[in-house]
Amino acid sequence: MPRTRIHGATITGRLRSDLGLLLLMGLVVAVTVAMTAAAAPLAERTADRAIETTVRDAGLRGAVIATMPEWFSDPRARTRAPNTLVEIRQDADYAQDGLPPRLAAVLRPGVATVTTPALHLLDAGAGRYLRLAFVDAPDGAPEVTYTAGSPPRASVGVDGAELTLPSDAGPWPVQVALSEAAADALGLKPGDRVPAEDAQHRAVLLRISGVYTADDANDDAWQLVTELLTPSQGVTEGLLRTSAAALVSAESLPDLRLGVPDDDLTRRIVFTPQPPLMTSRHSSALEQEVVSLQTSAGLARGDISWDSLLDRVLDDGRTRVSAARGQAQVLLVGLLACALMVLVLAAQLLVRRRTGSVTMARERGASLLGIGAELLVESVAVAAAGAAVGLAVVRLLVGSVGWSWPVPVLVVAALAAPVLGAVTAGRAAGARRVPANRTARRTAARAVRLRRVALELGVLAVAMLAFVALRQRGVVGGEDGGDLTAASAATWWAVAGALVVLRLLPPAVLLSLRAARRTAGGIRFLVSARLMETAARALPLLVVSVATAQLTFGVALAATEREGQVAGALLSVGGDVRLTTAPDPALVGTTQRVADAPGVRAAASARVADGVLAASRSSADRVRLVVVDADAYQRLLDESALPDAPQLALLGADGGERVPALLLGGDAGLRDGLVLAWDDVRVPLDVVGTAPSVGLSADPVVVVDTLAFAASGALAQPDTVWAVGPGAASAVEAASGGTGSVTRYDDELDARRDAPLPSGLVRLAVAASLMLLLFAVLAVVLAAATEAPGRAESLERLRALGLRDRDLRRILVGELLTPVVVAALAGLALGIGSAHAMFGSLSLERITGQTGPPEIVVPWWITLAPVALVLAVLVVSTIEWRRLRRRVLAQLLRS
Amino acid sequence: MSAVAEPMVAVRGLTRTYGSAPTTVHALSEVSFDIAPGELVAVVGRSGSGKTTLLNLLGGLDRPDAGTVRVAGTEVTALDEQGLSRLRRDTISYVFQTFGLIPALTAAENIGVPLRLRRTPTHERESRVALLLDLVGLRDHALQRPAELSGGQQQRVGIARALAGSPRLLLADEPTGQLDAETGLAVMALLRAVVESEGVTAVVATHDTVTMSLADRVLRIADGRVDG
Repeated sequence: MPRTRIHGATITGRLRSDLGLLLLMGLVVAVTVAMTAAAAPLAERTADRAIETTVRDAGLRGAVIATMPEWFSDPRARTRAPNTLVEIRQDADYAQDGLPPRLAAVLRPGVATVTTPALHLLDAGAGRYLRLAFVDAPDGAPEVTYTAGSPPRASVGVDGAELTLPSDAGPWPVQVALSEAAADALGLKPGDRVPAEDAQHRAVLLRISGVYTADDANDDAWQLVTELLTPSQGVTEGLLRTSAAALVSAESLPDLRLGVPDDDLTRRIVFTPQPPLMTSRHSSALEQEVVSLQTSAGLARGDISWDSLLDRVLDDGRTRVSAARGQAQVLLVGLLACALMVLVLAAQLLVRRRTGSVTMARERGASLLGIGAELLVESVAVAAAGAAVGLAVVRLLVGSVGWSWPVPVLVVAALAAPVLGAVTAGRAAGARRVPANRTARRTAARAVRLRRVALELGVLAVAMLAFVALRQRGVVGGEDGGDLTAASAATWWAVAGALVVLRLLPPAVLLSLRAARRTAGGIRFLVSARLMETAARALPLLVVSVATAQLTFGVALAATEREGQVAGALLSVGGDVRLTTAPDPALVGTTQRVADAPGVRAAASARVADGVLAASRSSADRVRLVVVDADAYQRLLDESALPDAPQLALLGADGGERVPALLLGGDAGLRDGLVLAWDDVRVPLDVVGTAPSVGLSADPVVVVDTLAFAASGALAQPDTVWAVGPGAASAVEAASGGTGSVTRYDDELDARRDAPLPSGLVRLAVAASLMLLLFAVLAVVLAAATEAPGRAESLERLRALGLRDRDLRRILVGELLTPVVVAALAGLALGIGSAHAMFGSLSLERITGQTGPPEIVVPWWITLAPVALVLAVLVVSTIEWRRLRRRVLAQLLRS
Repeated sequence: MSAVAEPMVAVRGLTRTYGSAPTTVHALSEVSFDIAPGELVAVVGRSGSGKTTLLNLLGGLDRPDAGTVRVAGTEVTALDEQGLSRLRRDTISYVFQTFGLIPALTAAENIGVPLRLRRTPTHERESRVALLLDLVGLRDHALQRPAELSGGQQQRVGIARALAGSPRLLLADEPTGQLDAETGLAVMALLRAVVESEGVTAVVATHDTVTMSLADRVLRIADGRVDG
């Protein structure tokens, strides 16, 4: 009856004898656990920062806007309501109460606005429009300083606060204030009384009380009605059109309500998000709450109507986070797989060193369970110690740990050695002997071959399934970033490829052996003979292949994303620098000055307008309209790294009644009889080709030539200047005179690279690549150590037969180097192959900010990875050679 | 003792001890003897008597604490590692107890290994291997790998390999230790035959009485001393 008792002294003795190897295993566990345990909290943190950045960048697009029902309008008489401000603040409270609690918690208190449509000013001809706006933030109206006149006041005294006007009374004066820019643009000054009318020609009487400057132009409240500080000018049907907004104060608010028809007044409560409170985990729930809020009863039922693009902003952020998580998973799966294989390799070495002891224990009556249990105690101790160190480091540095990824590491670290030890003891001392009968031996060998083929086919099938899953579903998936099957495709690909190489290696070695048979020398022959015995050992080759493949994949991923960011930043800026201002005809002259400046290769100006309605016979869409000097833009593209667009030359052609246009994106039906609605003009277009990408736009892009567009009667003054060349940035900054916003390519690229998701992914790819290289080197060392006793015996015999020292070294190097070089080169090829096959499914463009998948980049220096492995082999072989040549051959005769 | 003027092996005052006091083991103590060329000498003694130690010292596989070993006029004990390597390549060869064949190679290829280490031209190597296969009676098994041969056949391949480089001294430590009695006898008979046909001197460590009967001389080792 076999013994199952655990012998404590045996465990302690083994611990002492293999302390170095056990420490190495503990180190592998610690490093892998640390990396995998840190992955989840770091990913969560990065995702939160990404969502925060997305929401912050979205600005007012992320606001939740409550539109209140119209005020009741008495057709018989109009009564001044001095408590209008109180009503509006009650509206704000009511809207706040209507927000779902989770959404309310991440939004700032609402800013109330009362606005009118653009009123046509009648005192000095056509072309001037003024909106009236009252803005009330929770801490009061935005701070202003009056440079002329005074704030708007009530048009009546306290006595007439509740004045009632008959329905046929004339227009009631409303005092308003203008910003300096608005006053300049409209040519108004304090004290002016301006008759105006709305779209239904209902009269409104305005009195300009003062002119102000904003104390803080960046105050969010100003962004709600941008025309208050930034008037706009354009040309409609050949006439100059100037639009601005005038500020209504709390005192003049009752007059606004009295002086402007109720159906012209829009009351909104705008809730802007607080980006730091937006977390990735809650983004889905928030998105759903925004959607359900928008689908509530609304104005039709006399209730609040909700509008927001926050759901789209969050969706966009979540999609990018999900893509990044998926990509991170791809890297982590490869890292984990290699770590597990290295642990098994280390366990193999441990068991190999203990073959004698476990076999003897078995022969002396120990049960396999007992042998396994003794080894289990030891490996659990090593795994636990390693995990404790790894987790403590993560806890210390990161603050929290993720548990799911380290579990496989711990399981394999704890079980590999006991299982392998029990199997070794069972084989060495069990009843399973090699059959004496030749047929039985062949049958047994065939069964082994069949099992191996079945295993290999299984791996190939799984690799194929994972690949198909990746191609079909991609890595952008659920809350945790897609499914593991798709994320493991690159690893399975590498494993399957390594198995194929393993299959091909023995025939290749056999060919080498056959070729060496006819030679006189012995080195190549003996190396081939040794390789016939050792080269097909699966695990070391698998680890080196998979680690090199995943390393190549990770490096290519990081390099591709960095290069993609370069292209994305260039595309986003549109050149080396971009100047964006309010539409201004003077920009044409600015562009010319920039173009003439030293160090500028080309410059072009354009009007870039988003959300322009475009309709065809069978489709309609919002498009980005780019009205540009086609020749200048062509030169700019030629002089920059932006993609050329030769079809720009077609825009100068005479298109008859239709303006020649280039179109990018949108559905096919959009090309058929396309018409643009530009201000009040319908511009028929003739789509003559495909437009270049102008900036980054999710909407279709329509590009037309400035002259052709003007010829159709719809002028668009430029608001954008692009320039390329080493002196472009300084030239644009000098020419802009401080107006407008200057965006430099370098700054844009830095911002993109520093963004949470790209920088996090690059850091992960670099860390994973270094770990994989370490694992590959460890695999080389462990495999060499595992096979060292057998190799030493074989080479000592050759020494006894007269093998020279230098030949001993050559055989050693040949035996150790060949499989490593084959595996490393195979891994390199597999990594490059998987990058080309799979990058298209990883949604890299969501991280690079490009409109399509980035061009795949595999840096040349990735070939240094195999070189590093070769160096590792040379070091190992030199150490082993020195040991071998010093070894006395005294035991050889009996071996 | 042979009356030949120049012995193939001349051992003088050979001493080898293992361990340190107080557990020192004197494997060989002041051993001296000569072996004439072409002689087949059996070294016999109980387990642990120093047979293997003697063979190791004769073959330059170990270094003595004192004394000298001369093989074919070369003082083995004075050679450096390079000299020992040359000696093993050109003068001495070994037959291993566990055969020590390379599994991936055929019988013929295994026999040819020492010749490859000497960079013997291919046609010369092949004819020598064919001759040796005939000599050990394995011509029909030339293309079989060790795993496809019986233990006795493997040891024959081992003997043929040991003879491939035309050594002057052949050392064998319990060459029949892994074989049954009948096969062991056949192997020893073969060894006797090839010693005669190749003119090689052989020293065989054994405790098999049959082997002793085939030897020209028997050296008995006991307590680190040689008698005979």
